[in-house]
Amino acid sequence: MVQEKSFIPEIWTQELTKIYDRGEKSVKAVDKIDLTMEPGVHGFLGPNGAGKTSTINMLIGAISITEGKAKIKGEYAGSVRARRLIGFLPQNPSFYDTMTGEQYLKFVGELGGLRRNDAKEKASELLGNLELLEARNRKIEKYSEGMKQRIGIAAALIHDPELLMLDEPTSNLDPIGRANIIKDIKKLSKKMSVFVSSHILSEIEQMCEKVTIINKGKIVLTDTIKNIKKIHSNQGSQNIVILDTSSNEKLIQQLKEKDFIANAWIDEIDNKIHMISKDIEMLQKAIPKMIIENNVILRAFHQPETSLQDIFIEIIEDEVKNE
Amino acid sequence: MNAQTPNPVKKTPREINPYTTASSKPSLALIRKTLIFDLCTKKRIIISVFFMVLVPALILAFVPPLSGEQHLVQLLGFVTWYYNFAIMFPIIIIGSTGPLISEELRSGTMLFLVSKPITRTKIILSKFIALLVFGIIISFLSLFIICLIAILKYSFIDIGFYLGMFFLYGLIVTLFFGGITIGFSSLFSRPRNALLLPLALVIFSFLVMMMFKPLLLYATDNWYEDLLLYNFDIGYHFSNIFLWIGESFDPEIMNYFLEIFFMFGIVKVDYSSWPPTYEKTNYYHPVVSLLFLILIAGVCITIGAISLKRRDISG
Repeated sequence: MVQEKSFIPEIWTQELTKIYDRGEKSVKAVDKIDLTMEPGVHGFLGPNGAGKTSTINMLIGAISITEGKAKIKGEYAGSVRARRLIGFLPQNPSFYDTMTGEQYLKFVGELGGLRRNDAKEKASELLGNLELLEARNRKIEKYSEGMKQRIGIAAALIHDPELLMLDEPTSNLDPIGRANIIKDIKKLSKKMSVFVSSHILSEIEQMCEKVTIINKGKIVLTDTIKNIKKIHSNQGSQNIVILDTSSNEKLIQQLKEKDFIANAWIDEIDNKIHMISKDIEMLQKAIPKMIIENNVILRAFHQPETSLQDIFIEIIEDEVKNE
Repeated sequence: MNAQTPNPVKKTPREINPYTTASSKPSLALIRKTLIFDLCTKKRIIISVFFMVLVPALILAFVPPLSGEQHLVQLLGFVTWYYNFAIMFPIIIIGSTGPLISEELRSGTMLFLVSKPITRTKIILSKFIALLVFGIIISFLSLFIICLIAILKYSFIDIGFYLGMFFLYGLIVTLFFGGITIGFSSLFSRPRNALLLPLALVIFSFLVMMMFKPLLLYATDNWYEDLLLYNFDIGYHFSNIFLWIGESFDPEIMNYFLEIFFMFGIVKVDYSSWPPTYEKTNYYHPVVSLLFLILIAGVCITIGAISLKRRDISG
């Protein structure tokens, strides 16, 4: 018999629950969630108020666990040992504004257990890696939002954590700032496991291999993005096809009459024909014929890939319907 | 959903990063950061020392010298005890301590602190230690400047006695007011709220009680003694400790402070003869007074630490 190798998950929770006691009214923010994170990049998705931040705050020990258990690499969440393993970037990080970037990182390094000289060395290294070297002697209060987010990431990384926990790392950033942060996270994911929460799904799609979707404090789904897309695309509800020709108005009436088209319309935003097809192969055969018969020019004909956002919306809407 | 993995139990000890083995480092880093970046800012030091030195310096400038060599405590003892260490220094300590925890809670930096490998008790104690060092710096610097002005102006004797006595007393003042304020600072997330009660205590102990003391002692058939009010009179306990420290330097020290000590219940006045005679009340041994103040400060720090430990901290 082959003995199974003991596996210590990066994050493990069992019936993790958080109830905020607000006088007579108590709010259940996290409801008995079971989560197992394997090494790699794991996305934690959910609409605003779903319980993402409460879960992360319990994992780092900032808020108490009402019920259940949580472990970080085998250490109880909130313990000093567990916190040594984590690098954490909060949703809206606050800084000691009167410190310079370098002073702040040195302090954080020492707080994380580094010796003074090591903290200094590591701070310089991170400032260089995150393109903050020029601003290292500037006070943090004078940093842009993007720079603050990067110094926050540097602070999370300085003590060489084994698991990086990022709570909405791209919120409050402009598109360039977002792209840079995603690039940084991708780079970091080669060295350590990353647990990243967000409600911006296109970003999660770029960064993560696996996601957990949470809604109203409960886990709705945990799987790889690849599997989720595969399963949801096969359900047939997403057979959307886009067609663009020199005369979309002329074709739309004809398309609506076809049996294999469930619905067709001209989209108000891109002015193209959007169709939901019952039989994608029939449609693919019919379109070239219609183009020739109507003597119109074909500009585009493609089936957009189902995005994580579409699936997410579908899942959340299903949840609402099932209530 | 993912299949539930059994509760992972660690089989082998994890290889800990050599960096993370020193557990005392985070506390030291926090002490250093609190001292340098929060407490010992240029602005705070200048303002604190200015107000500490102001009145003694004015006295030194305008009070004419007595004949012969004068004891510095004779000239400045009363004002240093009352203006500096009963009013101004506690206000500086309270004002500096109030935001130490509550400002971190208000601004959200506490979330960052609690995510680091340092316990909440160590956070509060590190900040308290930094405050004690700050108190030492301010009291020493102020007393040193006062002494410097004094020796430049007149030929005083026993400068070291004045410096040493008040420096030691300043430590106790820092310990007490710093302790109670850091406790309140952990209870409230608004720095203003953390300051209110300790400031009220200073006003009550060193202004209100002092003003009403003659009334309590004489006009009310000595309610102060009959109702055991000295038990709760922080001003009495501070005076008692100060006298103890002073007497260890100079057994005759009480003579320089008779009037003020009367206002704080340390001595009773007998007006049946003239001139009136003063008699020590000896309600408590000074060590008991010291332990009493340390106990109050300790209880406040403990309550603050428990409150911080139980508090849910979010950004």
